[in-house]
Amino acid sequence: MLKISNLTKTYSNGVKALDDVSLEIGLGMFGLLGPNGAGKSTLMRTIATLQDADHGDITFGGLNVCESPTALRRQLGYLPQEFGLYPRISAYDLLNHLAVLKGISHKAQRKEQVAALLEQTNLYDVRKRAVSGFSGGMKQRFGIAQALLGDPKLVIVDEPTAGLDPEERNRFHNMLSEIGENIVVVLSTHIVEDVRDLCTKMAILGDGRILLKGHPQELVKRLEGCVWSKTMPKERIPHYRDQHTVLSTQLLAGKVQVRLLATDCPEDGFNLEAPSLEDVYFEALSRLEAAKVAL
Amino acid sequence: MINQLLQFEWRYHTRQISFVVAILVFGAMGFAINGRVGGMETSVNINSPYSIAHSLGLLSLGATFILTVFGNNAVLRDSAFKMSELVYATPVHKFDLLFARFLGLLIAAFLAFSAAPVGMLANTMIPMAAKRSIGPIDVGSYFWVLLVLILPTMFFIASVLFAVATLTRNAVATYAAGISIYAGYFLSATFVGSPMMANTVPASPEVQAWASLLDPFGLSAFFEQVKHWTASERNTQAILLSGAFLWNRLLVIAGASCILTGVCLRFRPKVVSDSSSRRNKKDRDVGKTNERRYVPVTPIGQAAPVWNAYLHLTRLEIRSLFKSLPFVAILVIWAFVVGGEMLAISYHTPFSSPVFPTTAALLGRIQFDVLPIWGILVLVFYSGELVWRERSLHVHPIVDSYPTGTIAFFSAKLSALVLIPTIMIAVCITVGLGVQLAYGYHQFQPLLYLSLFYYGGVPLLLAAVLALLFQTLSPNKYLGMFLCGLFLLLDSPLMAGITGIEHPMLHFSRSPRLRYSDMSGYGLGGHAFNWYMLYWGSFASLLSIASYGFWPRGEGRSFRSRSRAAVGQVGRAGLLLAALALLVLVGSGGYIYYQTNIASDYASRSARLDWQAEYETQFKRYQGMDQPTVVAVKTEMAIFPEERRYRVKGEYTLANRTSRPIQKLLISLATDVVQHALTVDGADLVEYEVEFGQSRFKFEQALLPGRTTILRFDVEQRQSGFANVSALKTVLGNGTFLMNFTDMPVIGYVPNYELRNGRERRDRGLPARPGMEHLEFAVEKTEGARRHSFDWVAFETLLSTTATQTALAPGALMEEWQEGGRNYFKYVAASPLMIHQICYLSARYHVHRSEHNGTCTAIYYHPKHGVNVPVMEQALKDSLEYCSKHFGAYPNQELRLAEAPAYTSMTGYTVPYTIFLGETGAFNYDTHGADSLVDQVYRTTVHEVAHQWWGHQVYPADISKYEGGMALVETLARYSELMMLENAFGKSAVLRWVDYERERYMTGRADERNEEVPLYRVTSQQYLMYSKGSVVMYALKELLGEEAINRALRTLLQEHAHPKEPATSLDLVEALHKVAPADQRRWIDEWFKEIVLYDVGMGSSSCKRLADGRYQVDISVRAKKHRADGVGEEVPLEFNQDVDIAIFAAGSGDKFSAGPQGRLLHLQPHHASGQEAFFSITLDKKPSRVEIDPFNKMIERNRADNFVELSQG
Repeated sequence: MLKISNLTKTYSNGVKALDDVSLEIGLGMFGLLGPNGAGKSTLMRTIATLQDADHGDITFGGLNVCESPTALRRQLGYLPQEFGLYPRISAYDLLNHLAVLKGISHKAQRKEQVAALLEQTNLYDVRKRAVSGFSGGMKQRFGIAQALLGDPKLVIVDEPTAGLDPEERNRFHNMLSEIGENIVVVLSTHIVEDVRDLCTKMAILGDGRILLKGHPQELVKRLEGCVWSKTMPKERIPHYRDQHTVLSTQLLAGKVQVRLLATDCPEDGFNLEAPSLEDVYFEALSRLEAAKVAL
Repeated sequence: MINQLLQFEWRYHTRQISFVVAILVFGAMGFAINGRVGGMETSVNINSPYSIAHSLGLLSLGATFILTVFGNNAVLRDSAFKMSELVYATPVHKFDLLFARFLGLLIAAFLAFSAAPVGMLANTMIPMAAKRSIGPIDVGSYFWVLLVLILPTMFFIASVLFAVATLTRNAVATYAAGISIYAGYFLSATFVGSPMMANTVPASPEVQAWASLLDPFGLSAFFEQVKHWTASERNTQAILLSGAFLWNRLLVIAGASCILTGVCLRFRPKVVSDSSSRRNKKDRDVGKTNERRYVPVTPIGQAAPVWNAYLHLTRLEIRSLFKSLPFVAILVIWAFVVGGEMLAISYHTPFSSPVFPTTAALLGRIQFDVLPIWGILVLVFYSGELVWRERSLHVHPIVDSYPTGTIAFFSAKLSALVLIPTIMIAVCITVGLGVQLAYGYHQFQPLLYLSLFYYGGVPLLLAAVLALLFQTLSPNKYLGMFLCGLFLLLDSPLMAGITGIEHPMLHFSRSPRLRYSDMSGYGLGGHAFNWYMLYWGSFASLLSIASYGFWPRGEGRSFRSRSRAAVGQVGRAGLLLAALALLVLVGSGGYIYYQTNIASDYASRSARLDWQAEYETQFKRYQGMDQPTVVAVKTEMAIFPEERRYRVKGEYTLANRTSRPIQKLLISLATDVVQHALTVDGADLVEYEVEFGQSRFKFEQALLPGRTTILRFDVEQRQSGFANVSALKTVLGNGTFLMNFTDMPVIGYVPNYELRNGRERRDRGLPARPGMEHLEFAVEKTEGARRHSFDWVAFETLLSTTATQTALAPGALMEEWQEGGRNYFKYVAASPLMIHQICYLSARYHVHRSEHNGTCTAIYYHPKHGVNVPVMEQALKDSLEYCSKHFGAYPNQELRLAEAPAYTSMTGYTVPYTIFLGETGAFNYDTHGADSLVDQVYRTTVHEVAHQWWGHQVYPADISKYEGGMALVETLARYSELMMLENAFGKSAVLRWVDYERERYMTGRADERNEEVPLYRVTSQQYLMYSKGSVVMYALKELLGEEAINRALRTLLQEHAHPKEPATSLDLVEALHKVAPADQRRWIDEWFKEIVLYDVGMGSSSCKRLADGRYQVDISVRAKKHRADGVGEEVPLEFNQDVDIAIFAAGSGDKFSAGPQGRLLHLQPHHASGQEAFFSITLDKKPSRVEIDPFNKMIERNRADNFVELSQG
């Protein structure tokens, strides 16, 4: 459905945000994982027609996005990473206003959908309150409501769970997975759990490049038998860093549990662990780091 | 801690671009203002302490703007950059924080302002040839002014703005406060009669005293202090920290300190948050049951959603506009500004001449300057706010990703922006109606009010489109505002002299002079306005298509990629529309250009000056050439108001008054008329210079002395209102006024064409024009051969106009008939008049006729302007009677008074047979206010009638050669006026009026640009001919008696009326000498031929009741006497003369009558000498008030100490 080919973007300050990114994304939830500054938002904004790429193409269902942005916008639902709302306007009025802008001109239909969305996002009871007074979570829910206005075929959500508490995040995930069955949903995040919980396909972005893509489970399976862990004092860690790929370190009762990548048991006291998606993520990032050091 | 905070503030401010901009702007303003205040060529040095204080004081008004911007930077940067949490969480004491911020702001702004004196100093030191006098450079005087005038002012303004910014945390509110301070100052300046505002009515002393005390800028107190300073005082004396000025500065500092203390107490360093956010917990889990299911709804269609979206977007814009406090505040301020302007029109003070609050007067007051300036300011500001709103609220990532057509966003913004001036105009109309109701004026003109939407609204609509384009293309809101404002400023006609952008077609959204009056409607510039709006409208259409093409959507798009996308965005329909707009632009532009440059001969300022210089170079050699004199003029003038055209055919009788035969003739004709014929009997055209309109003829046989010949001419002019709009040469649908003797042939060299400005002459290699000779020399040199400025001619005209109008010209009306749908009038002047007095007037008039002692009077007035006609009638009668009785008979059978259309800007003007009073002058004066001292309609009328004697019968010798001529014209008319006012309104009223003139004389001499001359050498100084003239003539009348003065004037008239030798002011002095006793003549000389100033005051005073029931008043008079030279340098004189002392009883009777009803107990001259003299006066009745010199015989600056209310001792 959504095909991204050779997308490149360099900002005027010299930062290369996207470097020859190519992806094919089909129906369902697609997770785009990457640390801050990896270029996720640039990619999202470019797909959402808010920004131009220097090179490369994006097509959606055969439609060239760069050439006919309006055609894509008609099928798009976009929740930006950062956004504001107008002051002195109630949630209902604003959503209704946005529905008009999305082109839902049939009044009854619009009313119904606006009410439904407010209900779904649990904002119905505060619909008469000014959106400028909303908390982070409410604002985020309002953001998803507006993204779902109309009949989007492509929904892009950029860091949607940042700032949400666990309960809100949970509700949000449920909503996404419900709508994500028949359309393309691209979820950009730096939280591994989001992808693990929701996505059938994913890619990892680092320094503007695709480091890894595939099914989360398959990617996890690739690391089976390679992830080892041991609890040790902090001072010992550098020693392992020199010889192995350290995936993660976690404090545990004053000591540190180190997970590292090795084909064989690196040392006595290491336990073989079942790999997680997090390990996949860190493995990809550490390969990127290693490449950088080599350069 | 404070030190570190302060250093941080300092670094912060100095790294702001606004700091650099402020330094540049104030440096440039200082450079530009240097030498421009207090007169261009005065004897006051451009770097005198006075000039420095005056210039910096005016610039301090602008300091409001830097303080506003810096204040916002200082206070609101935390919330603007979302840093509040970080900053307020630091363990800084709030006092330290506030103190550092305030001090940082003040220091930075003060330093930025200090660029102004640097600029002034730079300008002073640049050696430029045309500069006025420069004194020794004294850096200390700049520092002194900065310290006492500027710093307290900025301290106060900064504290107000700081308070607003800190307590509201709202940028727009701070801007609004800044603008209100600025606007409020101008508003109150208008009311308190600040000398800063031209043409303001002087306020009462009490109001001025309050203003001096409370004016936060200290300017009122400053002006009060220097009001009567002479040039030499201004050059040497630094502004004194004393009196009202000191109190004002102290009050300002105290006020600022109070405000700052208040801020400190009120300020809570917390992040502003909506209270509702605290209720989150509760809301979170309500309504868990999801009854409604989300169902996707497919958006349908195309056209309808765009229209729908446009409507919703516009509604949202308007709603947010009206819900925002700053916008409402701006509207309220605007209503106050408009109300202040409008109320001032009919505001009565004892000396003002307010007009009726007619719709035309109210709108005229704001339509052409206030509305455009405010409208553009608000538009420039709101264009930034509106265009950048989504981006500053960060809503744009949402809405920009919507399928909504860009056209909907663009149109909604444009609509909201256009709505702003529309609302402002609606406010004007509402306020206007309110003002009319408040003044009890009920002749509403709804259509005229509505026309403001067109004549005032369309130019602002165009400005809105322009501002939108600037904001679309600008990478930043403030840069967009700045650039747009800068463009509109540089492109305005006001700046044409500096930028060189002169042609009217280059001034965006402007049109040639537009003006409305009841008589002429929008006739003067309305037609041109329509075309110009079509022209600029099509241009603006192109601009808005460009804005649409470039409309920002998304972010980070380069200009290049946006311009690539623009054509696609605009689309085929847009391009078609653009092509159409271009077509209209070229078409209307072509028409305007044709009318301006081809049908009329438009010339830029420098081209005109070059023309003048070239004329002088080529033709100056003819100046001394013997030429015949015009002795009779006969014209056939046909006025076609509907076509805005006139054609005049005429004959001059030329006589050789010289003693030699004349061979050659040089005839000059204006270049903007069509010359159908120009012939001279017995002479052939040798050469015609089309560029200068000069024809040279050669007589076949020389014109011998005493012989005459006939010159015939036929010229025509068609006016379009596009160019060459001259107030005194205009044909209009209604209200034609043609003082067009310059359109008729002029014989010989025309000195009037010569360039006058010294610098322009020098730039073009012309020698400096010789100054005027001292009157005595000039008189001596030309003994017995004095001439008038113009030729005296016998005059008759056959004047025709359209059937509905009456036409007037100087002369007796011999016949009047209608023929072929036109009105014909034949006027013949019974005795010669001066050729420049020939003029024609045509309008739809009502006539009020009457007769007084054989003179027929007629008042011609616009049908709706009849309210003051009865007073005029009375004034005509009284003045004819008084002047005929005392000065000599009125020479004609008829006297007409006609209403001159408003565009002429005339108050009063007189030609033989006819006086003109202005449409916005006497015909609309509202004399019903109880505060007026005298009836201004009456006053204006009798003054103009008096010119039938002073100015027509006695006409001064050539005023370009002899000084003092205006004393014969205006001073004597003023004298006649004062006598008639005394008869009509009593002595007390006239004395107050004279005292007001004394005050105006003092202000006038203080503002003198060159050197003050004694009254008998007055040339163009109004403060001498009118003001000092009134004081002197009234004092003379008290000294010698009215009868003696009138006798002297009668003799003057008999000896110097045409055709006898013309008079000079020396003849007037001579005539007065003859009627004065020998010991009084020195006063005539002192008043006319010298500048002598007194300082007289009451020393001690007491009153006691004597044993015999009578009263004894003991007073002492302190007196000083000085002679001043032209620049005000004073030399003390011995005081040894009589002083009038008047004593009045209490009561309400007439102050100056002595009888049982009157209050006058004592009025006598008492001899006084030395510094202080003591008098003891015994009275029968109980005295209450003593006045020294009640008749202003001793001209002095301050008369407040000349009287005392007695308390019984």
